[in-house]
Amino acid sequence: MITVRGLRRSYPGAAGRGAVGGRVDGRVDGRFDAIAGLDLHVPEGSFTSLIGPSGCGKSTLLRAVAGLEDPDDGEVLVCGRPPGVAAADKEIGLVPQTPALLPWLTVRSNVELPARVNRSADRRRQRAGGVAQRGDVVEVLREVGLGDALDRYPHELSGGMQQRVALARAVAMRPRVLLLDEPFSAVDEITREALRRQLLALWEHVRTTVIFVTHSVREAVVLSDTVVVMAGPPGRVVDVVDVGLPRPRAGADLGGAAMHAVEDRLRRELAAAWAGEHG
Amino acid sequence: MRRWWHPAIWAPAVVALLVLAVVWQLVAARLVERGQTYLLPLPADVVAELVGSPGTYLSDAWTTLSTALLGVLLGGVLAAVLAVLLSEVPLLARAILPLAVVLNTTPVVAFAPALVVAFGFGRTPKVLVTAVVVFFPVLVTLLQGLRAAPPDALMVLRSLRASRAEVLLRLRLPSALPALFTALRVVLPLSVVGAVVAEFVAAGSSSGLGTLITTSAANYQLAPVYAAIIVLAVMGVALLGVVVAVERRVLARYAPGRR
Ligand SMILES: Nc1ncnc2c1ncn2[C@@H]1O[C@H](COP(=O)(O)OP(=O)(O)OP(=O)(O)O)[C@@H](O)[C@H]1O
Ligand SMILES: [Mg+2]
Repeated sequence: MITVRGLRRSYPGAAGRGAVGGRVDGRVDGRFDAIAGLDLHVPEGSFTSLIGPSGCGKSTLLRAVAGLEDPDDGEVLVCGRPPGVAAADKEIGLVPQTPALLPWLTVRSNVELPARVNRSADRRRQRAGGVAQRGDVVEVLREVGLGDALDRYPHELSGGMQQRVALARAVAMRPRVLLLDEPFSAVDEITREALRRQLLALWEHVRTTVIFVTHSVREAVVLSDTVVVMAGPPGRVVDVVDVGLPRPRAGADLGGAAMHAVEDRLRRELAAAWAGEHG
Repeated sequence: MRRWWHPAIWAPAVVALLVLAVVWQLVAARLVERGQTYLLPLPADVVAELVGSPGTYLSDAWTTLSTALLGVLLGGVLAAVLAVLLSEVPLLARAILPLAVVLNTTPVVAFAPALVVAFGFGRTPKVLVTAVVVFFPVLVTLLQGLRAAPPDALMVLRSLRASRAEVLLRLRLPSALPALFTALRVVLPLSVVGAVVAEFVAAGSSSGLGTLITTSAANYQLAPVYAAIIVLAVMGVALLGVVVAVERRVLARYAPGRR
Protein backbone atom coordinates (compact mmCIF):
# COMPACT_ATOMS: atom_id res chain seq x y z
CA MET A 1 0.00 0.00 0.00
CA ILE A 2 2.68 2.44 1.07
CA THR A 3 6.12 1.44 -0.10
CA VAL A 4 9.32 3.32 0.56
CA ARG A 5 12.47 2.07 -1.12
CA GLY A 6 15.95 3.42 -0.49
CA LEU A 7 14.62 6.86 0.33
CA ARG A 8 17.13 9.64 0.79
CA ARG A 9 16.21 13.21 1.52
CA SER A 10 18.84 15.85 2.13
CA TYR A 11 18.71 19.49 3.07
CA PRO A 12 21.23 22.20 2.40
CA GLY A 13 22.85 22.18 5.82
CA ALA A 14 25.60 23.96 7.62
CA ALA A 15 28.90 22.15 7.11
CA GLY A 16 29.65 19.75 9.93
CA ARG A 17 26.07 19.64 11.12
CA GLY A 18 25.99 15.92 10.52
CA ALA A 19 28.90 15.48 12.88
CA VAL A 20 26.94 16.39 16.01
CA GLY A 21 27.76 13.93 18.77
CA GLY A 22 31.05 12.87 17.22
CA ARG A 23 29.50 11.02 14.29
CA VAL A 24 31.03 12.17 11.07
CA ASP A 25 28.76 12.57 8.11
CA GLY A 26 30.49 11.33 5.02
CA ARG A 27 29.16 14.00 2.71
CA VAL A 28 31.36 16.62 1.18
CA ASP A 29 28.83 18.80 -0.59
CA GLY A 30 27.68 20.47 2.60
CA ARG A 31 24.26 18.86 2.42
CA PHE A 32 22.73 17.13 5.35
CA ASP A 33 20.89 13.82 5.04
CA ALA A 34 17.71 13.88 7.10
CA ILE A 35 16.86 10.43 5.75
CA ALA A 36 19.10 7.97 3.96
CA GLY A 37 18.53 4.43 2.70
CA LEU A 38 15.15 4.10 4.30
CA ASP A 39 12.95 1.12 3.43
CA LEU A 40 9.43 0.68 4.69
CA HIS A 41 6.31 -1.22 3.73
CA VAL A 42 2.91 -0.45 5.18
CA PRO A 43 0.19 -2.93 4.22
CA GLU A 44 -3.25 -1.78 3.15
CA GLY A 45 -5.60 -1.02 6.00
CA SER A 46 -2.97 -1.38 8.71
CA PHE A 47 -2.12 0.99 11.50
CA THR A 48 1.60 1.67 11.69
CA SER A 49 3.35 3.89 14.19
CA LEU A 50 6.71 5.57 13.69
CA ILE A 51 8.76 6.06 16.80
CA GLY A 52 12.29 7.32 17.22
CA PRO A 53 14.47 9.99 18.77
CA SER A 54 13.82 13.63 18.02
CA GLY A 55 15.34 14.73 14.73
CA CYS A 56 15.57 11.21 13.28
CA GLY A 57 13.47 12.14 10.27
CA LYS A 58 9.96 10.98 11.15
CA SER A 59 8.28 14.18 10.00
CA THR A 60 10.43 14.26 6.90
CA LEU A 61 9.36 10.72 6.04
CA LEU A 62 5.72 11.63 6.59
CA ARG A 63 6.04 14.66 4.33
CA ALA A 64 7.66 12.51 1.68
CA VAL A 65 4.75 10.06 1.85
CA ALA A 66 2.33 12.98 1.58
CA GLY A 67 4.12 14.13 -1.56
CA LEU A 68 5.34 17.31 0.10
CA GLU A 69 9.03 16.44 -0.26
CA ASP A 70 10.73 15.09 -3.32
CA PRO A 71 13.17 12.28 -2.67
CA ASP A 72 16.79 12.87 -3.60
CA ASP A 73 17.13 9.13 -4.09
CA GLY A 74 14.88 6.13 -3.98
CA GLU A 75 11.13 6.11 -4.34
CA VAL A 76 7.90 6.37 -2.44
CA LEU A 77 4.73 4.73 -3.67
CA VAL A 78 1.23 5.26 -2.33
CA CYS A 79 -1.27 2.75 -3.72
CA GLY A 80 1.34 1.96 -6.35
CA ARG A 81 1.55 5.56 -7.52
CA PRO A 82 3.86 8.44 -6.74
CA PRO A 83 2.59 10.34 -3.68
CA GLY A 84 2.02 13.48 -5.72
CA VAL A 85 -0.49 11.64 -7.90
CA ALA A 86 -2.29 10.18 -4.90
CA ALA A 87 -2.37 13.62 -3.30
CA ALA A 88 -3.80 15.13 -6.47
CA ASP A 89 -6.71 12.71 -6.05
CA LYS A 90 -7.09 13.80 -2.41
CA GLU A 91 -6.30 10.30 -1.21
CA ILE A 92 -3.98 11.48 1.53
CA GLY A 93 -5.28 12.89 4.79
CA LEU A 94 -2.83 14.78 6.94
CA VAL A 95 -3.07 15.66 10.63
CA PRO A 96 -0.17 17.92 11.56
CA GLN A 97 1.27 18.47 15.01
CA THR A 98 -0.78 21.61 15.60
CA PRO A 99 -4.50 21.52 14.76
CA ALA A 100 -3.91 24.19 12.09
CA LEU A 101 -7.58 25.14 11.98
CA LEU A 102 -8.57 28.35 10.23
CA PRO A 103 -9.74 30.71 12.98
CA TRP A 104 -12.26 32.50 10.77
CA LEU A 105 -14.13 29.30 9.89
CA THR A 106 -16.57 27.38 12.08
CA VAL A 107 -15.80 23.80 13.07
CA ARG A 108 -18.06 22.56 10.30
CA SER A 109 -16.49 24.82 7.66
CA ASN A 110 -13.02 23.79 8.75
CA VAL A 111 -13.90 20.16 8.22
CA GLU A 112 -15.50 21.01 4.87
CA LEU A 113 -12.36 22.76 3.69
CA PRO A 114 -10.81 19.70 1.99
CA ALA A 115 -13.99 19.28 -0.04
CA ARG A 116 -13.82 22.89 -1.19
CA VAL A 117 -10.33 22.83 -2.61
CA ASN A 118 -9.00 20.84 -5.56
CA ARG A 119 -12.47 19.97 -6.75
CA SER A 120 -11.22 18.36 -9.91
CA ALA A 121 -10.13 15.42 -7.75
CA ASP A 122 -13.75 14.84 -6.76
CA ARG A 123 -14.92 15.14 -10.35
CA ARG A 124 -12.35 12.57 -11.41
CA ARG A 125 -13.44 10.27 -8.64
CA GLN A 126 -17.07 10.61 -9.69
CA ARG A 127 -16.31 9.96 -13.33
CA ALA A 128 -14.34 6.88 -12.37
CA GLY A 129 -17.55 5.43 -11.00
CA GLY A 130 -17.91 7.32 -7.76
CA VAL A 131 -16.73 4.34 -5.74
CA ALA A 132 -15.60 5.48 -2.35
CA GLN A 133 -18.02 8.13 -1.18
CA ARG A 134 -16.60 11.15 0.56
CA GLY A 135 -17.64 11.03 4.19
CA ASP A 136 -20.37 13.13 5.69
CA VAL A 137 -18.90 16.05 7.60
CA VAL A 138 -21.53 16.24 10.31
CA GLU A 139 -21.46 12.50 10.86
CA VAL A 140 -17.69 12.42 11.25
CA LEU A 141 -17.82 15.34 13.67
CA ARG A 142 -20.44 13.48 15.69
CA GLU A 143 -18.24 10.45 15.79
CA VAL A 144 -15.42 12.41 17.38
CA GLY A 145 -17.87 13.86 19.90
CA LEU A 146 -18.21 17.29 18.35
CA GLY A 147 -21.82 17.07 17.19
CA ASP A 148 -22.67 20.00 19.44
CA ALA A 149 -19.80 22.19 18.34
CA LEU A 150 -20.55 22.44 14.62
CA ASP A 151 -21.08 26.18 14.59
CA ARG A 152 -18.43 27.13 17.09
CA TYR A 153 -15.13 28.74 16.22
CA PRO A 154 -11.76 27.12 16.92
CA HIS A 155 -10.76 29.62 19.60
CA GLU A 156 -13.82 28.60 21.58
CA LEU A 157 -12.60 25.01 21.78
CA SER A 158 -10.10 23.29 24.04
CA GLY A 159 -6.85 22.01 22.58
CA GLY A 160 -8.14 18.44 22.61
CA MET A 161 -11.32 19.45 20.79
CA GLN A 162 -9.32 21.38 18.20
CA GLN A 163 -7.20 18.31 17.56
CA ARG A 164 -10.35 16.25 17.07
CA VAL A 165 -11.55 18.78 14.50
CA ALA A 166 -8.22 18.38 12.71
CA LEU A 167 -8.71 14.63 12.80
CA ALA A 168 -12.25 14.96 11.44
CA ARG A 169 -10.99 17.27 8.69
CA ALA A 170 -8.51 14.63 7.55
CA VAL A 171 -10.94 11.71 7.81
CA ALA A 172 -14.07 13.35 6.41
CA MET A 173 -12.95 13.02 2.81
CA ARG A 174 -12.25 9.31 3.30
CA PRO A 175 -8.61 9.32 2.30
CA ARG A 176 -7.01 6.01 1.51
CA VAL A 177 -4.02 7.03 3.58
CA LEU A 178 -4.09 8.89 6.88
CA LEU A 179 -0.87 10.49 8.10
CA LEU A 180 -0.64 11.84 11.63
CA ASP A 181 2.40 13.69 12.95
CA GLU A 182 2.41 13.64 16.76
CA PRO A 183 -1.17 14.88 16.73
CA PHE A 184 -1.73 14.48 20.46
CA SER A 185 1.55 15.80 21.77
CA ALA A 186 0.20 19.13 23.00
CA VAL A 187 -2.60 17.86 25.25
CA ASP A 188 -2.61 16.43 28.75
CA GLU A 189 -2.39 12.70 29.44
CA ILE A 190 -6.08 12.11 30.22
CA THR A 191 -7.26 14.00 27.13
CA ARG A 192 -4.67 12.16 25.16
CA GLU A 193 -6.07 8.79 26.17
CA ALA A 194 -9.55 9.91 25.17
CA LEU A 195 -8.20 11.08 21.82
CA ARG A 196 -6.54 7.71 21.25
CA ARG A 197 -9.78 5.90 21.91
CA GLN A 198 -11.60 8.19 19.52
CA LEU A 199 -9.00 7.74 16.83
CA LEU A 200 -9.23 3.97 17.23
CA ALA A 201 -13.02 4.00 17.14
CA LEU A 202 -12.96 6.15 14.03
CA TRP A 203 -10.35 4.01 12.34
CA GLU A 204 -12.05 0.76 13.21
CA HIS A 205 -14.88 1.71 10.94
CA VAL A 206 -13.14 3.86 8.34
CA ARG A 207 -10.18 1.47 7.94
CA THR A 208 -7.77 3.58 6.01
CA THR A 209 -4.07 2.89 6.02
CA VAL A 210 -2.53 4.87 8.86
CA ILE A 211 0.96 6.11 9.62
CA PHE A 212 1.10 7.65 13.05
CA VAL A 213 4.18 9.44 14.39
CA THR A 214 4.55 9.50 18.14
CA HIS A 215 7.10 9.81 20.92
CA SER A 216 5.08 7.67 23.27
CA VAL A 217 5.80 3.93 23.39
CA ARG A 218 2.49 3.33 25.15
CA GLU A 219 0.61 5.23 22.47
CA ALA A 220 2.35 3.35 19.67
CA VAL A 221 1.57 -0.03 21.22
CA VAL A 222 -2.02 0.76 22.11
CA LEU A 223 -2.86 1.99 18.63
CA SER A 224 -0.81 0.04 16.14
CA ASP A 225 -0.58 -3.21 14.30
CA THR A 226 3.07 -2.47 13.64
CA VAL A 227 5.57 -0.19 15.30
CA VAL A 228 8.49 1.02 13.23
CA VAL A 229 11.51 2.11 15.23
CA MET A 230 13.68 4.72 13.55
CA ALA A 231 17.12 6.09 14.31
CA GLY A 232 19.00 8.96 12.80
CA PRO A 233 19.84 11.35 11.36
CA PRO A 234 20.24 10.19 8.71
CA GLY A 235 16.85 8.60 9.32
CA ARG A 236 16.55 4.85 8.82
CA VAL A 237 14.44 1.98 10.09
CA VAL A 238 16.13 -0.06 12.81
CA ASP A 239 13.30 -2.41 13.65
CA VAL A 240 9.75 -3.32 12.77
CA VAL A 241 7.76 -4.76 15.66
CA ASP A 242 4.42 -6.50 15.28
CA VAL A 243 2.22 -5.63 18.24
CA GLY A 244 -0.13 -8.58 17.84
CA LEU A 245 -2.67 -7.45 20.41
CA PRO A 246 -6.32 -8.32 19.69
CA ARG A 247 -8.73 -5.82 18.19
CA PRO A 248 -11.02 -4.00 18.56
CA ARG A 249 -9.13 -2.09 21.18
CA ALA A 250 -11.18 1.08 21.33
CA GLY A 251 -13.29 0.03 24.29
CA ALA A 252 -11.02 -2.69 25.62
CA ASP A 253 -9.01 -2.35 28.79
CA LEU A 254 -5.52 -2.87 27.54
CA GLY A 255 -2.65 -4.10 29.60
CA GLY A 256 -1.25 -7.42 30.60
CA ALA A 257 1.92 -9.32 29.99
CA ALA A 258 1.80 -9.36 26.18
CA MET A 259 1.53 -5.61 25.96
CA HIS A 260 4.26 -5.00 28.51
CA ALA A 261 6.59 -7.35 26.66
CA VAL A 262 6.15 -5.34 23.46
CA GLU A 263 6.56 -2.06 25.33
CA ASP A 264 9.75 -3.25 27.01
CA ARG A 265 11.23 -4.33 23.72
CA LEU A 266 10.44 -0.98 22.14
CA ARG A 267 11.86 0.95 25.07
CA ARG A 268 15.15 -0.96 24.82
CA GLU A 269 15.38 -0.30 21.12
CA LEU A 270 14.59 3.35 21.51
CA ALA A 271 17.24 3.67 24.17
CA ALA A 272 19.71 2.03 21.80
CA ALA A 273 18.70 4.32 18.93
CA TRP A 274 19.03 7.32 21.19
CA ALA A 275 22.42 6.23 22.50
CA GLY A 276 23.51 5.64 18.92
CA GLU A 277 22.98 9.32 18.20
CA HIS A 278 24.10 10.87 21.44
CA GLY A 279 26.43 8.34 23.18
CA MET B 1 -12.40 45.45 29.24
CA ARG B 2 -12.39 49.17 30.07
CA ARG B 3 -14.39 51.29 27.65
CA TRP B 4 -13.31 54.60 26.22
CA TRP B 5 -16.06 56.49 28.00
CA HIS B 6 -14.70 55.44 31.36
CA PRO B 7 -13.04 58.53 32.94
CA ALA B 8 -9.92 56.53 33.72
CA ILE B 9 -9.39 56.18 29.98
CA TRP B 10 -9.98 59.71 28.70
CA ALA B 11 -9.34 61.86 31.77
CA PRO B 12 -5.49 61.79 31.62
CA ALA B 13 -5.46 62.82 27.97
CA VAL B 14 -7.96 65.63 28.58
CA VAL B 15 -5.93 66.91 31.52
CA ALA B 16 -2.76 66.86 29.42
CA LEU B 17 -4.54 68.74 26.67
CA LEU B 18 -5.78 71.38 29.11
CA VAL B 19 -2.30 71.80 30.56
CA LEU B 20 -0.97 72.23 27.05
CA ALA B 21 -3.60 74.86 26.26
CA VAL B 22 -2.78 76.76 29.46
CA VAL B 23 0.95 76.68 28.76
CA TRP B 24 0.28 77.80 25.21
CA GLN B 25 -1.90 80.67 26.46
CA LEU B 26 0.74 81.80 28.97
CA VAL B 27 3.63 81.63 26.53
CA ALA B 28 1.69 83.30 23.69
CA ALA B 29 0.40 86.07 25.97
CA ARG B 30 3.93 86.73 27.20
CA LEU B 31 5.26 86.90 23.65
CA VAL B 32 2.50 89.28 22.56
CA GLU B 33 3.28 91.46 25.58
CA ARG B 34 6.85 91.78 24.38
CA GLY B 35 5.63 92.63 20.91
CA GLN B 36 6.81 89.35 19.35
CA THR B 37 3.54 88.65 17.57
CA TYR B 38 5.00 86.44 14.85
CA LEU B 39 6.08 83.58 17.10
CA LEU B 40 2.87 82.09 18.45
CA PRO B 41 -0.76 83.17 18.07
CA LEU B 42 -3.06 83.27 21.05
CA PRO B 43 -5.23 80.17 21.41
CA ALA B 44 -8.27 82.44 21.48
CA ASP B 45 -7.31 83.86 18.07
CA VAL B 46 -6.94 80.38 16.64
CA VAL B 47 -10.30 79.30 18.01
CA ALA B 48 -11.89 82.49 16.69
CA GLU B 49 -10.38 81.76 13.31
CA LEU B 50 -11.85 78.26 13.29
CA VAL B 51 -15.26 79.34 14.54
CA GLY B 52 -15.28 82.39 12.29
CA SER B 53 -15.07 80.52 8.99
CA PRO B 54 -15.79 76.83 9.57
CA GLY B 55 -16.86 76.44 5.94
CA THR B 56 -13.40 77.26 4.61
CA TYR B 57 -11.72 74.86 6.96
CA LEU B 58 -14.19 72.10 6.22
CA SER B 59 -13.84 72.43 2.47
CA ASP B 60 -10.03 72.70 2.69
CA ALA B 61 -9.99 69.70 5.02
CA TRP B 62 -12.12 67.76 2.56
CA THR B 63 -9.76 68.64 -0.31
CA THR B 64 -6.76 67.38 1.64
CA LEU B 65 -8.57 64.37 3.05
CA SER B 66 -9.92 63.24 -0.30
CA THR B 67 -6.48 63.62 -1.86
CA ALA B 68 -5.03 61.53 0.96
CA LEU B 69 -7.69 58.84 0.67
CA LEU B 70 -7.41 58.64 -3.12
CA GLY B 71 -3.68 58.25 -2.65
CA VAL B 72 -4.20 55.47 -0.11
CA LEU B 73 -6.58 53.76 -2.48
CA LEU B 74 -4.25 54.00 -5.46
CA GLY B 75 -1.01 53.23 -3.62
CA GLY B 76 -2.62 50.62 -1.41
CA VAL B 77 -4.26 48.67 -4.20
CA LEU B 78 -1.12 48.70 -6.34
CA ALA B 79 1.01 47.66 -3.36
CA ALA B 80 -1.42 44.88 -2.45
CA VAL B 81 -1.40 43.51 -5.98
CA LEU B 82 2.39 43.60 -6.08
CA ALA B 83 2.58 41.99 -2.62
CA VAL B 84 0.45 39.07 -3.80
CA LEU B 85 2.55 38.76 -6.93
CA LEU B 86 5.80 38.79 -4.95
CA SER B 87 4.53 36.26 -2.44
CA GLU B 88 3.63 33.92 -5.28
CA VAL B 89 6.82 34.37 -7.32
CA PRO B 90 9.84 34.14 -5.00
CA LEU B 91 12.26 34.99 -7.80
CA LEU B 92 10.48 38.28 -8.39
CA ALA B 93 10.51 38.94 -4.65
CA ARG B 94 14.26 38.41 -4.51
CA ALA B 95 14.67 40.87 -7.35
CA ILE B 96 12.33 43.59 -6.15
CA LEU B 97 12.20 43.30 -2.39
CA PRO B 98 15.64 44.74 -1.56
CA LEU B 99 14.77 47.80 -3.60
CA ALA B 100 11.41 48.09 -1.85
CA VAL B 101 13.04 47.84 1.56
CA VAL B 102 15.48 50.62 0.67
CA LEU B 103 12.71 52.83 -0.67
CA ASN B 104 10.60 52.10 2.39
CA THR B 105 13.25 53.77 4.54
CA THR B 106 13.70 56.66 2.10
CA PRO B 107 11.62 59.79 2.69
CA VAL B 108 9.74 59.43 -0.55
CA VAL B 109 7.93 62.76 -0.03
CA ALA B 110 11.13 64.08 -1.57
CA PHE B 111 9.65 62.96 -4.90
CA ALA B 112 6.93 65.56 -4.51
CA PRO B 113 8.60 68.43 -6.44
CA ALA B 114 9.50 66.10 -9.29
CA LEU B 115 5.94 64.82 -9.51
CA VAL B 116 4.58 68.37 -9.53
CA VAL B 117 6.94 69.25 -12.35
CA ALA B 118 5.81 66.18 -14.25
CA PHE B 119 2.06 66.42 -13.64
CA GLY B 120 1.31 70.08 -13.06
CA PHE B 121 -0.61 71.78 -10.30
CA GLY B 122 -3.88 69.84 -10.41
CA ARG B 123 -4.94 67.04 -8.17
CA THR B 124 -2.99 64.30 -10.01
CA PRO B 125 0.50 65.00 -8.61
CA LYS B 126 -0.88 65.29 -5.07
CA VAL B 127 -2.65 61.95 -5.26
CA LEU B 128 0.50 60.48 -6.76
CA VAL B 129 2.73 61.81 -3.98
CA THR B 130 0.38 60.32 -1.42
CA ALA B 131 0.25 57.04 -3.31
CA VAL B 132 4.05 56.88 -3.38
CA VAL B 133 4.22 57.59 0.34
CA VAL B 134 1.70 54.84 1.02
CA PHE B 135 3.02 52.27 -1.41
CA PHE B 136 6.12 50.89 0.26
CA PRO B 137 4.88 50.49 3.82
CA VAL B 138 1.84 48.63 2.51
CA LEU B 139 3.96 46.46 0.22
CA VAL B 140 6.47 45.45 2.87
CA THR B 141 3.95 44.88 5.67
CA LEU B 142 1.45 43.02 3.53
CA LEU B 143 4.13 40.79 2.07
CA GLN B 144 5.19 39.83 5.57
CA GLY B 145 1.56 39.04 6.36
CA LEU B 146 1.11 36.91 3.26
CA ARG B 147 4.22 34.96 4.14
CA ALA B 148 3.13 34.49 7.73
CA ALA B 149 0.43 31.96 6.89
CA PRO B 150 0.65 29.17 9.49
CA PRO B 151 2.92 26.45 8.07
CA ASP B 152 0.86 23.50 9.30
CA ALA B 153 -2.30 24.83 7.65
CA LEU B 154 -0.28 25.40 4.51
CA MET B 155 0.92 21.82 4.70
CA VAL B 156 -2.64 20.51 4.99
CA LEU B 157 -3.74 22.45 1.91
CA ARG B 158 -0.70 21.30 -0.04
CA SER B 159 -1.34 17.68 0.91
CA LEU B 160 -4.74 18.13 -0.79
CA ARG B 161 -3.07 19.71 -3.80
CA ALA B 162 -5.10 22.86 -3.42
CA SER B 163 -4.27 25.23 -6.28
CA ARG B 164 -2.24 28.37 -5.69
CA ALA B 165 -5.33 30.49 -6.09
CA GLU B 166 -7.15 28.38 -3.51
CA VAL B 167 -4.28 28.64 -1.04
CA LEU B 168 -4.17 32.38 -1.62
CA LEU B 169 -7.88 32.95 -1.20
CA ARG B 170 -8.59 30.53 1.60
CA LEU B 171 -5.44 30.88 3.65
CA ARG B 172 -2.90 33.53 2.71
CA LEU B 173 -5.16 36.52 2.22
CA PRO B 174 -7.22 35.98 5.37
CA SER B 175 -4.03 35.36 7.37
CA ALA B 176 -2.66 38.65 6.05
CA LEU B 177 -5.56 40.71 7.40
CA PRO B 178 -3.80 41.65 10.66
CA ALA B 179 -0.86 42.86 8.58
CA LEU B 180 -3.22 44.85 6.37
CA PHE B 181 -4.53 46.72 9.39
CA THR B 182 -1.04 47.27 10.73
CA ALA B 183 -0.22 48.82 7.38
CA LEU B 184 -3.35 50.97 7.38
CA ARG B 185 -2.62 52.26 10.85
CA VAL B 186 0.78 53.43 9.65
CA VAL B 187 -0.27 54.60 6.26
CA LEU B 188 -3.46 56.60 6.82
CA PRO B 189 -1.84 59.28 9.00
CA LEU B 190 1.15 59.16 6.66
CA SER B 191 -1.13 59.80 3.68
CA VAL B 192 -2.23 63.09 5.23
CA VAL B 193 1.43 64.06 5.52
CA GLY B 194 1.88 63.17 1.86
CA ALA B 195 -1.11 65.21 0.76
CA VAL B 196 -0.04 68.26 2.79
CA VAL B 197 3.54 68.14 1.53
CA ALA B 198 2.25 67.86 -2.02
CA GLU B 199 0.12 70.96 -1.43
CA PHE B 200 3.14 72.79 -0.03
CA VAL B 201 5.13 71.99 -3.10
CA ALA B 202 2.42 72.72 -5.64
CA ALA B 203 2.20 76.34 -4.52
CA GLY B 204 -0.57 78.20 -6.27
CA SER B 205 -3.10 75.47 -6.01
CA SER B 206 -6.44 76.76 -4.90
CA SER B 207 -7.47 74.76 -1.85
CA GLY B 208 -6.40 72.28 0.77
CA LEU B 209 -5.06 72.71 4.30
CA GLY B 210 -1.45 72.57 3.07
CA THR B 211 -2.15 75.41 0.65
CA LEU B 212 -3.90 77.36 3.39
CA ILE B 213 -0.84 76.95 5.60
CA THR B 214 1.65 78.14 2.99
CA THR B 215 -0.39 81.11 1.83
CA SER B 216 -1.23 82.23 5.37
CA ALA B 217 2.35 81.85 6.53
CA ALA B 218 3.54 83.86 3.54
CA ASN B 219 1.26 86.66 4.74
CA TYR B 220 2.44 86.41 8.37
CA GLN B 221 -0.97 85.21 9.49
CA LEU B 222 -0.25 82.66 12.15
CA ALA B 223 -3.76 82.01 13.45
CA PRO B 224 -4.96 80.26 10.24
CA VAL B 225 -1.74 78.25 10.16
CA TYR B 226 -2.33 76.88 13.62
CA ALA B 227 -6.03 76.41 12.95
CA ALA B 228 -5.16 74.30 9.92
CA ILE B 229 -2.68 72.29 11.97
CA ILE B 230 -5.36 71.57 14.55
CA VAL B 231 -7.75 70.43 11.82
CA LEU B 232 -5.01 68.16 10.43
CA ALA B 233 -4.40 66.66 13.87
CA VAL B 234 -8.10 65.97 14.33
CA MET B 235 -8.19 64.41 10.88
CA GLY B 236 -5.29 62.11 11.68
CA VAL B 237 -6.84 61.00 14.95
CA ALA B 238 -10.19 60.41 13.29
CA LEU B 239 -8.61 58.29 10.55
CA LEU B 240 -6.75 56.24 13.11
CA GLY B 241 -9.91 55.83 15.14
CA VAL B 242 -11.81 54.52 12.14
CA VAL B 243 -9.07 52.02 11.31
CA VAL B 244 -8.84 50.77 14.87
CA ALA B 245 -12.61 50.37 15.11
CA VAL B 246 -12.85 48.43 11.86
CA GLU B 247 -9.76 46.42 12.76
CA ARG B 248 -11.28 45.37 16.05
CA ARG B 249 -14.39 44.09 14.32
CA VAL B 250 -12.59 42.27 11.54
CA LEU B 251 -9.85 40.74 13.65
CA ALA B 252 -12.34 39.53 16.23
CA ARG B 253 -13.38 37.16 13.49
CA TYR B 254 -10.20 36.58 11.54
CA ALA B 255 -7.61 36.54 14.28
CA PRO B 256 -9.45 35.94 17.55
CA GLY B 257 -7.39 35.63 20.70
CA ARG B 258 -4.61 37.83 19.40
CA ARG B 259 -5.15 40.35 22.13
N1 LIG C 1 13.37 22.10 5.91
C1 LIG C 1 14.48 21.65 6.50
N2 LIG C 1 15.67 22.25 6.27
C2 LIG C 1 16.79 21.80 6.87
N3 LIG C 1 16.85 20.76 7.70
C3 LIG C 1 15.70 20.11 7.97
C4 LIG C 1 14.45 20.52 7.39
N4 LIG C 1 13.49 19.70 7.84
C5 LIG C 1 14.08 18.84 8.66
N5 LIG C 1 15.42 19.06 8.74
C6 LIG C 1 16.37 18.28 9.53
O1 LIG C 1 16.15 16.95 9.24
C7 LIG C 1 16.23 16.14 10.41
C8 LIG C 1 14.96 15.37 10.57
O2 LIG C 1 13.92 16.26 10.88
P1 LIG C 1 12.45 15.76 11.20
O3 LIG C 1 11.65 16.97 11.48
O4 LIG C 1 12.00 14.84 10.14
O5 LIG C 1 12.68 14.95 12.55
P2 LIG C 1 11.61 14.27 13.48
O6 LIG C 1 12.00 12.85 13.62
O7 LIG C 1 10.25 14.56 13.02
O8 LIG C 1 11.89 15.01 14.86
P3 LIG C 1 10.85 15.35 16.01
O9 LIG C 1 10.57 14.08 16.73
O10 LIG C 1 11.59 16.33 16.88
O11 LIG C 1 9.65 15.96 15.37
C9 LIG C 1 16.49 17.07 11.56
O12 LIG C 1 17.86 17.03 11.89
C10 LIG C 1 16.11 18.43 11.02
O13 LIG C 1 16.94 19.41 11.60
MG1 LIG D 1 8.64 15.76 13.73
